[in-house]
Amino acid sequence: MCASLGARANRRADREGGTQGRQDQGGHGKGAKDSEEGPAEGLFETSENESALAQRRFAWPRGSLFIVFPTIHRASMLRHLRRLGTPKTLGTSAAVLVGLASLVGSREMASVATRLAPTARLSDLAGAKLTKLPGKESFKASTLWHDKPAVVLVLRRPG
Amino acid sequence: MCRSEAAELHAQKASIEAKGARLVCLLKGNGLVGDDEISLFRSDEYDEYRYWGKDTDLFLDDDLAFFKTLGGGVVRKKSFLLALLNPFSTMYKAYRNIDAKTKADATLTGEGLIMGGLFVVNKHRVVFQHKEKDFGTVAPIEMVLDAVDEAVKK
Repeated sequence: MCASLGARANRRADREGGTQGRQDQGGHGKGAKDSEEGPAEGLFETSENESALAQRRFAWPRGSLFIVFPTIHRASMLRHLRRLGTPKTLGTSAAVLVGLASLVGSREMASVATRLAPTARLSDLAGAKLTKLPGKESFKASTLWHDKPAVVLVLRRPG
Repeated sequence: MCRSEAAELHAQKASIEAKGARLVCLLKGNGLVGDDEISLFRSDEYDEYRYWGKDTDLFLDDDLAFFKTLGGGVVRKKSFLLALLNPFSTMYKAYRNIDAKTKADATLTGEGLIMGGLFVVNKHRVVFQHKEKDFGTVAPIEMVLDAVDEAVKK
């Protein structure tokens, strides 16, 4: 019983598979037949191909170029502008260098002014106690410039 | 002001005296400068490169009043290490200008961190003042001579 049912199912399956294969073959066969068939059907197919080709050729409609190219142009301009804007880093470093140089220069100038400006008062110096070398006699500094001006070198180290 | 700068100024002694002023040098008192240093500073043994003449006045500033005046009331000390580390320090420039003989004869004995300077003084006022900003910075000789001219006039 079971075997007979299985055989029947196999047969049905064979039949169905065979039909499908035939249908496929038929499809192919029909296509092949179509290409060999009369000119009316062939003409129709050519125009269909042409329209497909035309569709492919004009995938980018002409009008879109007016959108695409200005966009690219604008983008490149923006890039250029950005490049113009980006020298900020170079500009900053250059500004820092110039600032440093001017700082050093101004410091030097200021120090020259400070070290050369006579800010000392005569009264600060006049009372200083000095000792003559050799001899070790002490006297007041005011006697140095009493009779004539004095150039007083204040030496940091004689060695 | 080190001894090379002192020698540079001492070379102008004749012109300073010709203008009618005197040249004096002050060293640190309070035992900050040794006798050996003083004797080497004005020794006759080194005739070729004597730094300070025996006949030129040399004094000790006992209470460091001149040094304090240059520091605005306090003794102005500088760090040698910081000056060495500072690439903008004028010390390097000053050192380049010192002749080889002085460099060879240089010693590091004695106190050398209290900065010095220079004054041109007449009996009315301080005409010119120079602070030793960095180790070895000197007053321009032309300015000193101009200041002497001015001091003599008044």
